[in-house]
Amino acid sequence: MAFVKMQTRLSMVAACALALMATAPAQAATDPLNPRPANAAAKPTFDLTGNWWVTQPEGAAGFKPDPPLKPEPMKVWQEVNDKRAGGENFRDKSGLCLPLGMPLILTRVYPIQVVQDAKKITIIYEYENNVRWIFIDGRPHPGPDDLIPTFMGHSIGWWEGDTLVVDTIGMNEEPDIQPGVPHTKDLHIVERIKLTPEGFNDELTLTDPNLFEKPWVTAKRYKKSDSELQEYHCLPENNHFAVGADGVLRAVEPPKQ
Amino acid sequence: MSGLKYLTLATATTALLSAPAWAHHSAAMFDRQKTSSVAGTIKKYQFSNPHAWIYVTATEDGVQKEYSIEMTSPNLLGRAGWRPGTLKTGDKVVVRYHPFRDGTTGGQIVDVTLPTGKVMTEQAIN
Repeated sequence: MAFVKMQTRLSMVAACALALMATAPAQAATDPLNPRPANAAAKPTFDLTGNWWVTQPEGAAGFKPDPPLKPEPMKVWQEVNDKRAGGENFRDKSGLCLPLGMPLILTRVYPIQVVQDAKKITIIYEYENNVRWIFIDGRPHPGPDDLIPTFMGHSIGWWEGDTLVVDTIGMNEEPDIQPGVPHTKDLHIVERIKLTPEGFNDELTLTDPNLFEKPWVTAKRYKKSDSELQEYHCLPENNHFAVGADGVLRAVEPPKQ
Repeated sequence: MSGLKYLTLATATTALLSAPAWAHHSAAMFDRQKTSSVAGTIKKYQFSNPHAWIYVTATEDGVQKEYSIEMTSPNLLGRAGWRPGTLKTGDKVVVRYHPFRDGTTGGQIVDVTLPTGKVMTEQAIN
């Protein structure tokens, strides 16, 4: 018991020291293609391998709190909220069987399977069986000429003490971060992942100078799950929703029987 | 003022608790404050992604109507005990649902009472 206490105290001291060290490189000009600080851990601090399930209410509610938007994007966000209050799903592309990508995929309430190896962390999302790779072998992001925009973007990760830091760039502009929050190619996401007694916390800091007044900090919480992942494919011919000319998602006629 | 604040908080809490766990698209198109019920016959049970659907026909005042009832994905329904054979064409069922706001006949499932009397919901164990 005394040993555990001492260990806790020691790890707190270590965490404080790391936190102090971590602030130093943040103040220095970091390379956006290789933002790993000099004091990043040489080896992974933990292994995220396993099945996890995002917990409520964060999962069903998009991202909270509301985004700190600039005046122009704020108008789009307000229009979506006004229409939603009136019963219309405006700009909701999640109903169209399209890949969601980062970060909208994080709002789906389905289990995920994480497989961590020496090079990368692979996340399989049951929702539409989407896959995301986070490279943890020290490689930087591709340079501007080599970066191919994708739904998930390009993610690299490293550990700072007890925290897995994941840096993501290169997300294409589809779909909105959540309906009504469209982003540009400058979207940059930094995730700080920490283990919790139930699972792990993923704190996200989103920046996009075209969109936000200041960084948008939001979080998703996960718990350990015994549920095995299943196949999930969203087939357009089985989908009974379509976006009208007015941008509103509606149920349409079921297929001919 | 404090009364209004309380009411808003209470509404927000209710909305949060009743938020669908499955969210493929937002549930804004359904009036989740209302629950309707229809006793009818299964015309079709479509157990496919992204959403499963139940089509129920019922005759009201001599007029046959078709109700389109949306459910979550087979993935989540499977975890709540649903199977491809849970409903069969011709089964007599009672379906409770949150109606579409735009007047489309049908809505979002609350529960289905099977011919055996068993009540099926979307409540999954995760």
